[in-house]
Amino acid sequence: MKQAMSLGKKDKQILFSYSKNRTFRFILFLLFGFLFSAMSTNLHAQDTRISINARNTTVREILKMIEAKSDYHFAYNNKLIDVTRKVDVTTNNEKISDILKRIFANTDVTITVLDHQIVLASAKAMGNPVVNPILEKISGKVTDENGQALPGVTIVIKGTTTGTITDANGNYSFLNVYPNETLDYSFVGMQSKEVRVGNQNVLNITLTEGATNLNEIVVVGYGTQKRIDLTGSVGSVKGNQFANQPITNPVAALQGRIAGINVVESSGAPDATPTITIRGLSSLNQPNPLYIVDGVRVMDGNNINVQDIATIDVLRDASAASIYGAAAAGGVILITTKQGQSGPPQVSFNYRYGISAPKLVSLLDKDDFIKLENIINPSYFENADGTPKSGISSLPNTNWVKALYSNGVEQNYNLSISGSKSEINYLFSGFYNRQSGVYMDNYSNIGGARINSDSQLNKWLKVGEQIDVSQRTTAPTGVGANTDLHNAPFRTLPIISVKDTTSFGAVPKGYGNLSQFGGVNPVAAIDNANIQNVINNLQSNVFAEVSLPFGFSFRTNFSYDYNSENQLYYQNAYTNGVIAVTTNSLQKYFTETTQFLTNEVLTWKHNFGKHNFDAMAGYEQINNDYNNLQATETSIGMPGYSFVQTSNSSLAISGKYDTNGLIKSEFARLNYNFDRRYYLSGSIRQDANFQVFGPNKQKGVFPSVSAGWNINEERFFKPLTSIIDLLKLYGSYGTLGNSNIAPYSFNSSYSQFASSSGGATGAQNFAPGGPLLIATSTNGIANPNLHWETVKETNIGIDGQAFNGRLYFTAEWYNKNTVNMLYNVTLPLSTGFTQPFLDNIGSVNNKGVDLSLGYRSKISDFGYDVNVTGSFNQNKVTNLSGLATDAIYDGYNYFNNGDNQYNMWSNQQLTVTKVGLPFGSFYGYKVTGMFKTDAQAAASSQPSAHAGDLIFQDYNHDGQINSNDKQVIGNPNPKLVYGINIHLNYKEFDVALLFNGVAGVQLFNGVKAYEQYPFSDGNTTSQIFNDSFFGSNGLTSQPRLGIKNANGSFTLDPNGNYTQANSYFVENGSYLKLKNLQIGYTFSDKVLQKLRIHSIRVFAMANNLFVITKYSGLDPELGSSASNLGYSGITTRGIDVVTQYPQTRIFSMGLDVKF
Amino acid sequence: MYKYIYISLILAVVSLVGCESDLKNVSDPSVYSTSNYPASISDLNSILASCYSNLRGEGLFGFHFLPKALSNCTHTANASYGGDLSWNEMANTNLSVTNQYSTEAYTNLYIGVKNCNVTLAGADFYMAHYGTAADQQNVNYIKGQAYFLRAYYYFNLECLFGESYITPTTGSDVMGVPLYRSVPTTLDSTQVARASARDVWNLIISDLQQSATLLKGKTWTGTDEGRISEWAAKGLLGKAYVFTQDWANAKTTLLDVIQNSGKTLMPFSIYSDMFDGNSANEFNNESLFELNVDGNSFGDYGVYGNTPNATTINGLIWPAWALGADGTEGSAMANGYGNETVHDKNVLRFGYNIGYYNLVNNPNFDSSQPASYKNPKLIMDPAYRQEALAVRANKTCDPRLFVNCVQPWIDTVKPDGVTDYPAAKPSVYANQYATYGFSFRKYSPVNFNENADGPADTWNYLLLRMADVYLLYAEACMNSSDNATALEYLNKVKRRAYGYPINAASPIDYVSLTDKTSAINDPVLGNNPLYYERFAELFNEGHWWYDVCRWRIGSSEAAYYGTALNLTGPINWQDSKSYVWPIPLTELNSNSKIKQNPGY
Repeated sequence: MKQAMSLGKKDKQILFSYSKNRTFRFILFLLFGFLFSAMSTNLHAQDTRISINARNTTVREILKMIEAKSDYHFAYNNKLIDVTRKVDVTTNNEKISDILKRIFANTDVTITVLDHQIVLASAKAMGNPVVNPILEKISGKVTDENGQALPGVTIVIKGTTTGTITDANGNYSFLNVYPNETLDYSFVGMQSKEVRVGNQNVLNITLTEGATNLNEIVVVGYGTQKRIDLTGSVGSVKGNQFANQPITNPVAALQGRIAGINVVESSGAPDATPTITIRGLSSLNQPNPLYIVDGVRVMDGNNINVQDIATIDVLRDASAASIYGAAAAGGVILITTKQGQSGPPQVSFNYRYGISAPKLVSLLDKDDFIKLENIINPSYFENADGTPKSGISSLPNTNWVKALYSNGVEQNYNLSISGSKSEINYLFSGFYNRQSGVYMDNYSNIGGARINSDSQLNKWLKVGEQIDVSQRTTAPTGVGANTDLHNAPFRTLPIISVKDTTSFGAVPKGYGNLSQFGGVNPVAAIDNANIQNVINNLQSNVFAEVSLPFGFSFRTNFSYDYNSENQLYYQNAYTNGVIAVTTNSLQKYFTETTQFLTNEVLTWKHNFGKHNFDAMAGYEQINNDYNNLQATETSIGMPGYSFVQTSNSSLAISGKYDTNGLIKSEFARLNYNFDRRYYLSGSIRQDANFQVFGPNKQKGVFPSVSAGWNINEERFFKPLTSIIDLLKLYGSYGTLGNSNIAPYSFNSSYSQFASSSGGATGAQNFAPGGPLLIATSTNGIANPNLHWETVKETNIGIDGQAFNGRLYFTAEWYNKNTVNMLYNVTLPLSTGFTQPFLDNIGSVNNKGVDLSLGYRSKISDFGYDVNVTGSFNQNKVTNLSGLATDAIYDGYNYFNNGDNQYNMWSNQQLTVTKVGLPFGSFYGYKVTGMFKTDAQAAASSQPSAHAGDLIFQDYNHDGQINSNDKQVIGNPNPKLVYGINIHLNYKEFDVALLFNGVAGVQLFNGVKAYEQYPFSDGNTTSQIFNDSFFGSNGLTSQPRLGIKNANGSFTLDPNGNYTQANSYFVENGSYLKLKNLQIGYTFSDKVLQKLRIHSIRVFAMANNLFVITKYSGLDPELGSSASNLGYSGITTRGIDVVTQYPQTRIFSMGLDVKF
Repeated sequence: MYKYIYISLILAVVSLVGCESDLKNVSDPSVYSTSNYPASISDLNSILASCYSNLRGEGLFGFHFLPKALSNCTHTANASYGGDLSWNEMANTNLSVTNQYSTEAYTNLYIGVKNCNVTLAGADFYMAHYGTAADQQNVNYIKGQAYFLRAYYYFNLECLFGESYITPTTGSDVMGVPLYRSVPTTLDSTQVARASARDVWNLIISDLQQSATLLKGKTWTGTDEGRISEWAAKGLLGKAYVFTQDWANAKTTLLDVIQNSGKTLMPFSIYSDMFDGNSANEFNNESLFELNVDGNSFGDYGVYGNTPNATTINGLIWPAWALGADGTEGSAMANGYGNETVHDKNVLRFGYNIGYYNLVNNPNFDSSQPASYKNPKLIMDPAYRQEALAVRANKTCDPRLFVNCVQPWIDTVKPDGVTDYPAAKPSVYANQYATYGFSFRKYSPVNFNENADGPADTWNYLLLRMADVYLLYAEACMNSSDNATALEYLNKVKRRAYGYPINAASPIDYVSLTDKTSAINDPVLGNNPLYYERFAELFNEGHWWYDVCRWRIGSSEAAYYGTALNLTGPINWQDSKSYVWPIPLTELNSNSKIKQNPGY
């Protein structure tokens, strides 16, 4: 079926085989692109070859002959050009340009090619020296006022979409520019500049600081706009700001840098994907943002080499995003990758090496553990008379945390070559990132390569492509029989050795029930499970841009994405104490997803006097195919990743092949402005999704309108313009769709039966050893009325700049309502359906303000730029009507994710979501204090409590404490998310600091329960010794552990201090974190020139250097814990659980070399 | 000229891409669409299979229902493992509304109801779209099995979660459980109030009647021998009549089974070997409804995993214990997790009256060899051993004790599947004199280590067998003043246990319905042969909880057992709530019309 493909360019061969028509179309288009390239050598007059044999013929006659033999015709003024002159011309397949040069040798005639017209002019008459007819190439360097190179400057040929970006050294180049064209240079923080090309081949440009934030080019859906012309909300980050951060994911680059965006990096795992929320949680089925890379929607935005990124633009509000309609409810992230640069090949190499250290919990060692057990289980280690049992001294003293965790290493290599050759701009880049996790046998390595190229074939046609391939190989955590990752393995015992000489350790006999300890030995589990997960990703896109008359242009993209995930998991048979895996097994999991996307966009730009129009209409179609296979074989003949069947083997294979994925969309947008003062804009999109919604519910329409007013352009404002460079007011209203639910949810079907424990119940036989009859049943109730969830958002913003652009700010207010929310309604157990019923129920409101404020300047050699972003958000569920009950309960203090029962707060849901509350509000007993005396307790609603027990609020005032007294005890949604970016430079030094923080948020510190109370038959931390009345303690700040009975036994926690979810565990989660500190030094040119090196920058960096917080857990930057209801974390935010991968602190060094 | 070529090429490409035509009715290609499935009898049998296989769900006979729920709340077992709150609550007969095991039972039983309803609808769909008149008989058999299983699931739901048991004159004002007679198809139709207990029992009874009618005359053989027959349906119907005190119908129905099914009690030699995986004794002539279980997990962890199998893993929890390899009780080894052992009080209840044993120095200890299970330093006092063997030989206690249990030092256990080790006290009782330390034999791994083998149970679960029918018949007779017949049927069951022919008078016969039983110091069972026989005969088969609740002897049971290893005080039995399990919180949170049971 689908074969691997390799795409070459130009003179390379294409090998591509694919089934179905789409493949054929794709191949055709590729060929078509190559045909262009092949023909391009004949496109220019000077390159067209003809044969002429004429003697003593007038120039006029010869020009007519050339016209007859080519597509070209001549334009000249015969009063200025002597065409009656007679010449001899004998050519044999000679270039027209050469023929013309010979004819007009030693004259002042200039030859200019415009389209298919060759213009002959007299240099004398024009008062010009002889000029080249077309500038095949111009190049130059862009610097600031101090001569410092400016990388990342956007350069666009005015009136076209053709453009480039300066490289790291500020260099750029253009091919085939006409002398009468104007180049537009723009860069954040700089005043943009327009320069007419004229006849210069080299254009070195100096940009000056100024009111230019607003002149930068911003990528919007299906086009670009100047920031000053925006009426929607778009946030941008330049690639050079994060290129050297130790991240492998573009979302991580956004943290702290754009207002309105909450990026949470809660895990130090080497393949961790940060979560991103744009302007608050808008849905129970909160979608991921849509990733658009170089104008094309991709399936997965996580595989892009961050060092290939030129800019990231984020469409924040509904008016900006609604052009992406039904896919945009999670926000839209537009990534523009770097393009080919001018001139000879430029080689750039980057390397960094870093060490990551985990933040960890320490468990009790042997002596402390025995000390604890002597109190709570005195019979384990002491004889009846209180003497220690024999053999205790020979018990091991294992530090399980140390056995599982160590420092990790991060290394990153990046190499890129870019430049241009004849008409082609190119960029090749490759990278490799190697990370070992801090957890045992955990790593993730990603490598990839990109080829970007484009060719301006002639004035009206440009073709190009982007190809990006990557492979990520990961050994994930939490695999192996019976094991989840734990940031501290609380169910381990220090008195068990990691490994005896022959087998995995167990508690020796003779220590009561402890000798039956059945906890998993995590080292044994990891040692006996080999896993490898390989993700291959290809993103490819071919485009053509055609300039048409009357201000029209047309662009078409053909894109093919391929993603495969191949997981190999070999489980060895082994015995670990009383736990055993009795047979080995091999599981292979293979999933292949492909996306074929095409869009065609027609753009029209026109100015009538001061009326400026920019209109766009297009069509887009996305086809998704899915193919997967999961195979398991037990008792394989040889350890490893090959299926070697034995007589004892059993097999299970499942797989799916689905080519029904189809989305079809039509869209249009009109931008109008009058005199760049008054703006009006509208867009509309219709999407049809044929796989997610049923008949008659497939289509959704998503309109938006926006308007803007550049106040500083008004006459009345003129007196202020010396201080305030810019003041713009804008507002918008738009709608977005969300269809982030599993396909076919509108249908019901029969599939193999699986009970809650899995598919082992998917068959039955009726006699000993009889044949298994596969069992099938239906799993849910169909909802043919299922349709789009809609987000309606109003945005009002103000942009300003003052003091010649030094001070810049943006403030935006938004009000976002989600209606017809996609809701997984839990069905009553009595229906027999454990799968929820999906319906459009309820609504949610997000209100907030996004602020961004910066100041930059220079004092002599010291430059600084300080930028602060802040996002205030208030999240509230406004309607959940139509439900059986009015609330959604979720969130558990999991020991193993998904096991509601076997954890510290067995079966207790920790969050509630209902009308009037934010998503996932914490829920439990409210603690109002601790009983100081037994008498105080006896007189309370908890008469059996004692001193040191928590006082729970009698919420319903019925005189007793029971589950009816549970109430809201915290909000996991931060009121404020903020970031501080500081860039400093002094001569060759540069320093960058990135802080991020949140305020006004609570966290449910579930781990604290494990740290202050022994979980099941496992271990805990030394915090337990601080419990009230523990040992010789009096009343402390921690509640008491339990009560010692008269017979010496110990009753743990009769009051539920540690075993009931209560507000003792709810903490202030505000923090400020120095996310990244980077210090660089760039070596001066003089030294390097001798070494033929353009530049070297060395840098040192620290990630997660410090956190300022009152939170007592490991790290307050928490995402979401596992959801029992299957939501993607909306209802389980801010719960700190022991399955959380620890955060790490990374110290790195590296260098950047450019040749 | 080229311009036109380019434009036409671009247009050609664009038109090739074109608009793919809209898809009107797509469906998931990896599942069967409800619009054309089931399309054959074989499809229909697959749907029916889910009604059976659901019995092996983790919340039912797969793992949790017997060892973690029922054996704890009846104190058949005693849990040495106290790390599981829901488990402890079961032992305390004081459940929270979030109790895992009551929630799972509720969930899995209703999944069973749903699967049966899907099957019944599928059968109608099949006959309406594909079936021919020739298929009708097979479809009837399928529906007959589905009706039986639906009744079975509702039977358990009503007994566990219904507000109370009913009589022929009561029940209309008693809360039963929500009733689904068909698969709900809209969200509104999932908001179902609790039916009256009378309605639930009526549905159970009519389903079983239908089942018996549809399956009339059908005998299952070969690889189908474990399917439901007419006699299973009538047997369960009789049980439903007994449980609702409809003695007249109970008598006629049960007598029909006794006289016409061809089923009977198996002789003791087979009886004593029919709960341990000996497949020669499975689906024997005593069995009416039996869940087939194979000792092969196909690489799954028992019922956990995705490879379909035919196993369960209850034995992990309550395995037999073997003496430690070093010959000490302290190093005793369980043939599974060993979380549970037999509650010591049960040993007394079976009439085992020689007290506890002492360990003494082994006179044959060979000090030149290391101590081992073959050469233990300490052994059971030989005098006691003789006494204990005499108890067995002379049947001075109920012989069923040894069918149900493994006795330390007397019995043998194979921890490696091959070698006989002396049985041992569970390590929780090691070196504690005043303990019996019997472990389970019935439905327990005695001769293999389940941890190291699968894990997978190897034995079938007998969910309805003739001994139960005989005792139910006795109960129906007793309650309709036919004491002689009642006594006779109690004695038939007892005679078999003592190895006598069942139909002739024997020396161990009860002489009255209040005769003394084997139970020592037991004010309730000690003089109630009916209660005692149901206890002793059906020990550890999951029936006792139902009897305790319908006879309302909960507080005397709690008093008899006192406490449990996983409790810190006496069993907290409360007549006002403990007889009924709570409607799970999840149901309350999702069903606006549901009402909780009193006391919760």
